[in-house]
Amino acid sequence: MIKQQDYEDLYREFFIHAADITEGPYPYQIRLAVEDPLPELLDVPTGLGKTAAVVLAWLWRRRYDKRFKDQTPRRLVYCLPMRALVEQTHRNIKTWLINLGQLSQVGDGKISVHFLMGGEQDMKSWAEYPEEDMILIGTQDMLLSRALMRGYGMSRYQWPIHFALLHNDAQWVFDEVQLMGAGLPTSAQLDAFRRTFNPALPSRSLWISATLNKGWLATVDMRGFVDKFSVLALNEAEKTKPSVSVRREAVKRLNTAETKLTVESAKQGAKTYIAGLAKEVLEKHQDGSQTLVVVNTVARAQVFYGALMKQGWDERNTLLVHARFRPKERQAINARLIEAPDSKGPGRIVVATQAVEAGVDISCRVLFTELAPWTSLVQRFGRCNRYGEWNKKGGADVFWVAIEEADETARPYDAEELANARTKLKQLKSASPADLPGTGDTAPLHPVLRRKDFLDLFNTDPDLSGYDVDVSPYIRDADDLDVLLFWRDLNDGSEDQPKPYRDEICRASIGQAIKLIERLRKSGRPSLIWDSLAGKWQRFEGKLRPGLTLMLDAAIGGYDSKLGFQPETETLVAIVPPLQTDKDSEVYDGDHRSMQKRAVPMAQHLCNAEDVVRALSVAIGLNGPATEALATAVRWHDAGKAHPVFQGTMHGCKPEETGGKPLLAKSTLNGRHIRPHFRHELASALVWLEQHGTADHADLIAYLIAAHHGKVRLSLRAMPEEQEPQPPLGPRFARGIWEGDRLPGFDIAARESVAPVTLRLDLMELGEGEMGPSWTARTQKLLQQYGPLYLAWLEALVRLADWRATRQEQENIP
Amino acid sequence: MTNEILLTGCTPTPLAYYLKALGILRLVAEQQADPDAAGRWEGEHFVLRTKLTREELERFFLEQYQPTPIVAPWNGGSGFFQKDNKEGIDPIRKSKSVRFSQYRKTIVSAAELVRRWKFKERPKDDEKNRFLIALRAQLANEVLPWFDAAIMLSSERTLFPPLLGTGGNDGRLDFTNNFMQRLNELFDVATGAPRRSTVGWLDHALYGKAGYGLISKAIGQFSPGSAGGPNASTGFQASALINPWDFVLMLEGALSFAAAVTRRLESGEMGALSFPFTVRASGVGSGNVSMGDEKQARAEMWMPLWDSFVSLGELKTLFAEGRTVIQRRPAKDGLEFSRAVAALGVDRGVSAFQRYAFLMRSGKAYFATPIGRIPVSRKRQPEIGLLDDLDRGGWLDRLRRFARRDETPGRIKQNVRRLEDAIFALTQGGTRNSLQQILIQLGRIERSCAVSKDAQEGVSPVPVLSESWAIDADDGSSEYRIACALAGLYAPGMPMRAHLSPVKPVFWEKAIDRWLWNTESRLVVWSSGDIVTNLIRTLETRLLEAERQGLDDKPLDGFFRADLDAVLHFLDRRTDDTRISDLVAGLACARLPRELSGQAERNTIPDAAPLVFALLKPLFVPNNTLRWLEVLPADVSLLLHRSVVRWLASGQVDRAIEEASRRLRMAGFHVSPSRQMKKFASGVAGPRLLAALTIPMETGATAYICRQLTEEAVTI
Repeated sequence: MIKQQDYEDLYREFFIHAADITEGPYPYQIRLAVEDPLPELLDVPTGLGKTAAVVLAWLWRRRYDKRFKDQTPRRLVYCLPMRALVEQTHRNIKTWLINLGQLSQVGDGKISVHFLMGGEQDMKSWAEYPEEDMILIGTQDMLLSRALMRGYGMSRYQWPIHFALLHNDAQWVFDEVQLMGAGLPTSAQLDAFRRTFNPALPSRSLWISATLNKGWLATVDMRGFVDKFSVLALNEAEKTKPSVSVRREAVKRLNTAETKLTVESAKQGAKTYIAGLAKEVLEKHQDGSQTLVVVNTVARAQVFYGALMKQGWDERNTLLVHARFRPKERQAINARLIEAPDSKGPGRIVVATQAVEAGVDISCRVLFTELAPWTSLVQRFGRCNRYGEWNKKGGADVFWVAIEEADETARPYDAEELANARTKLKQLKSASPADLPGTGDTAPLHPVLRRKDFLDLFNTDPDLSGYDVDVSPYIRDADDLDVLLFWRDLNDGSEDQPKPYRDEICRASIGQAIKLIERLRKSGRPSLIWDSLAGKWQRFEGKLRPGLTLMLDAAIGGYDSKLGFQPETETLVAIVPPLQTDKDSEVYDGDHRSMQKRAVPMAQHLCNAEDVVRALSVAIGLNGPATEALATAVRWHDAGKAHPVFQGTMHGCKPEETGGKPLLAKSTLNGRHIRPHFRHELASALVWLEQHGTADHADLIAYLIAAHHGKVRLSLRAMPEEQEPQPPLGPRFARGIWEGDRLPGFDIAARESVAPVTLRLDLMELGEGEMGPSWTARTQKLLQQYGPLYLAWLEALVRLADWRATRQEQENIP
Repeated sequence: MTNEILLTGCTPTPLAYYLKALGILRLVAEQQADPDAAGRWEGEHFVLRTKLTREELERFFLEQYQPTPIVAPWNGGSGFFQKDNKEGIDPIRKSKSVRFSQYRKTIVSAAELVRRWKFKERPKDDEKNRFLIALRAQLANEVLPWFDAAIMLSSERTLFPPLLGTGGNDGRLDFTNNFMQRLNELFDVATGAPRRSTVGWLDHALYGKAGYGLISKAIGQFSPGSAGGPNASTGFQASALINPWDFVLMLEGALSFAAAVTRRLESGEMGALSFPFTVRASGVGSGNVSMGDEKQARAEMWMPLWDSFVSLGELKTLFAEGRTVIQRRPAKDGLEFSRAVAALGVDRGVSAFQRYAFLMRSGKAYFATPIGRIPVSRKRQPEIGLLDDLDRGGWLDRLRRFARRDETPGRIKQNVRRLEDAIFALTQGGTRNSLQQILIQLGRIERSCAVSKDAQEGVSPVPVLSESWAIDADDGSSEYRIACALAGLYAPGMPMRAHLSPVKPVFWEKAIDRWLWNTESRLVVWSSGDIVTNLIRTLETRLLEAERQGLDDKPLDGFFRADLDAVLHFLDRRTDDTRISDLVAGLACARLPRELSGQAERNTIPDAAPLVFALLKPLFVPNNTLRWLEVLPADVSLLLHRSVVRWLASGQVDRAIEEASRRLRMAGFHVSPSRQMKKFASGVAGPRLLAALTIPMETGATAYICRQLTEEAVTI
């Protein structure tokens, strides 16, 4: 019998090996890995290795400790509010896995690590291996949109797969939750839904923060669970341990800066204020160390940056960090930021906006910060003497800059928020973590995703206007108000300009962008917008609105590689050359694979896919009656390919000429179906229902069959451009399937016989018809019976089995 | 065992009775554990299919029904604020009855929220928006449908679906407060027992049985027939006779509709607010609403009617599928809406839509006025397909966006709005007349864009319309045929359309593919003046241009040729010239057919063409045609000398005839001069004659006239 102590020792060894450290892990890091259960909340101050604690604990529980293996989800989903954090976290995790010899490509049986953030190329290979252990690191936009069935940056037809994999068998980790904004209540609601909707395999959530108020998670559906949450925090002994206390009690003297932002000093671009502040910062800065100055607006940060130089500071020892840079420049800045300044030199001054709160792991000796909302201040304090490295060298200083109470000085924050923070600051002894009170603030106001909204999202068909339910209010609040700008050399006109690349896009607030656009209009130069209807760039004349992407002439300025977006700048903007991948990538198309290297007979493909799904079910431990239904669905999923229209395409002949030709599931030909919008999977589902409509789970099987390309799901509709059938066929039609279409019978090898069938479609209409209840009634009932999580899971498995069987068929060419 | 219960009290109109049907179905399905309950419209009544018997159904409403706890703590008059009427809310708040327990809880928690937000009166503006976000985050699941039916919430602002007025009230009538008052009238709220009149009222509500002593209360927008108001009596308060059940069940039914925030996938646009089967923000189809008024304009809802039994779950799904964006002015509101709704109707087996307009009344309240029923036919309406031509290259879309800019010239705005009306009318089943209207407006739009540099940058010329336009818009009138003939006036480099606006054709495989603006065009002569002047200018320009180009034939051929009858109507001033002018510009955008229906019958030879016309006509017929008719030898040309044109234009018909005769004789026609000439010519107005001669004419009639001139000597 292994004792708890032994587990702890084993884990300590494991941790040291993984993290490549000499001094053992913090006790809380060990507790997280070896104690039962894994908590929901991790309340640990910044700088104490939270990411390592969580990732390695999951890995240990999943791969090394048999006691926890089965209750530990296969997928670790690490959700971060900002891109900058994703890159850093990714680097660290990879290093640990390499140290442990566990890192591999997906499909190799070890642990693969995947990025999920905008602009990444591989955002789907992970989804093909539901049975493998893996780590997904992503931004909140990417992950939450997928969890809400409206994945950003992907084909709508693949939404259900990502949805399924993120709600089943997933350990979610929400890090830096104080920055999640609207995503936080959503994360709580989603967890509550996972608790009530019975996924096929359980999932869990873990929220990490030093400043989180537990009450913020007590959303309407989570309320009943939050009280029972287990919280892992530092215990008293830990708090006094030198390795912890050096950080927890890091010396951060709190001072009030002499300079103040007043209504008066804010005038003329805050010139007086900035000059005063720069002077004060230079006085307080200590050679060989880092000073961080955090101001609340980009404009002030830019002016301040210039003011430092004016007062004789060397630009080489200065960094400007804010969110109004193009990714290209931002990457360079981030790279410089993580390098520590030369301790024998003059040191470095980092000028930043709140973008740095969430930014990279840096520490400073002197911190200047403008008054900000309390949670932001706490984050900023965390960047000062972060590791306690100055404790024995005279400590560190925080200077907070007072802001006069007025709306115009408070921006972008509420004067009221600032007032609350001011009160708190005044009662504070020091900015040391040990002296910071918890946040007592009431939860910020965000729209909350309700159960009915979540159910509504399960339907992925757009509505009559061609619109989809908008999930963005539940994902994030801030960025949405930006416009996106990029600059090109337009001397030769705009005709041949490609669409923007990720690395050249700069975000700007509407208020700032208007200044630049106005200047452009006065000078008679265009700003251009992509007109997708006309397929060309058009002069933009309208009003700026969030999310708009505009192409600007590089000659007019507005962006400076050092300062970022600045409407007043008139110098030529340096153009970002496209990467090769930018040139290649076009919008993601729906169908996974189209043309095949070799033909595959239908029966063979159906058998292969069934075998795959059975193996997959075993691998992921799926059981219960649905397992058999799943196998049946896969065995039948392509039965509708016997449709003459489909066979005509396979053989490159007319539908009426297909008689006597072998039934193919795949062929080397790559033609279009003669009927626009033809969907074989609808035919498959109809064939199934005609022959086994009364069998157990008949509707579930029909749904899984129909949904196996993500195009025919809850609702059955004809497309506007479809051809209408002529009598005697019809009158009903949908997706290229016409009432009265006849399909030949065939054998699924020796497994089952499919009889010839004449298709009917009355189930697309409401109410009961000859075929029984409507498709809508059937699918609504399924949704009620199985819940969205379970249904999506089965749906995803059918599709994954189909993909995998297809790949095997194509790769195993003799 | 299921029963089919005919509810004669539930009818497609007024709206209150339609909603009542949905309310009954919903409550039976949700509260009677009969999820299989279903309903259908049979004629003008609703039939409920349920496991309940008629008696059980009545007993359910009288004894078990638990009212949905609808509250509106954001509204003044909702019962949550000091000055509000509390007759309805207080008894429920104090009730100990199980029927009202959920209601009681909801009131208490809403009141608690109001208290926490420290409201003394109803919240306004941003505070209201924030309060609504907080409220929606907390309301019980049962109350959410009410919230989503009354309020459309997005992070920027709050909108109100027209169905429930302005957030659950209508002018000064707060629906929730009234709902609670009506419940007090139906039940002894303290115990939950029905009152004495409740049974009779229920009979009336379900089966329309009359005479149970209705009470005098406001019902608001849902039943204009029974509502009071300025037109009905002395004032809004002197309201109407209603049955409390009607009011209660109507609101219960309204909860089947839910708003949603939607957006175009990955568009970067802000979220838009959508509501089932509702269209707003468009003056389209409403005749007298200008674009500037669109914010005030009515909204419309199309309520589906169906004739097979449909369950609540299916209906809710249908309503979700039928959501349309109503907040924004989408590019193709009314038009796209009716096309899309009709298609969904077909797919779902909906038999008809009952259309309601929500019209602003007395500045604040709305009335849901039934404005007709639209049957859903399984066949697509072929005329609607014609509109695809306008969508080519997103033309219509672009035009409509352009028209909605503030700085767009008023004339264009006005024309575009009329175009939208006409398009809408077409989708409503209008055909020929609407098509003509569309054509006319297209012509006007192109001409009004032609004088605005701005417009030419923003909008390209009207796309080429298919032949079906000209065929389907034909009303058989002379005006139409003349317009067609003029629109088809053709010679190389001189399409008729180029005289109307500065455009030039772009060819693709020998056919005109599209048109571009051509500001350097020398051909544009058409003005807003009368058609005769315009035609004369056109003719002169064509002749000049033909000369310049060195064409060897008269530039007066036509794709379509009018029959003699029509031309003579014109000559006799028996046509509506304005209409011709209007149609020409639109038809010039279309490919023209060689024939219109009924042409053959019309192409009979009339008894008499005025001699003057007959004598002059050959000069206006291309030589190729004359040769084909074998009235002109292959090596001879009959020229239209500009002097003939000049004399006719200046009214000197006799001189024109003199010259024409000379030309005709030279070409081998048997025309002899006569002293009578002046006499014949004196009664004819030269300019009009000239215009009539310019109209390409059907070859049979032309041949007849010409042969007269060749075979027998004509003495004038």
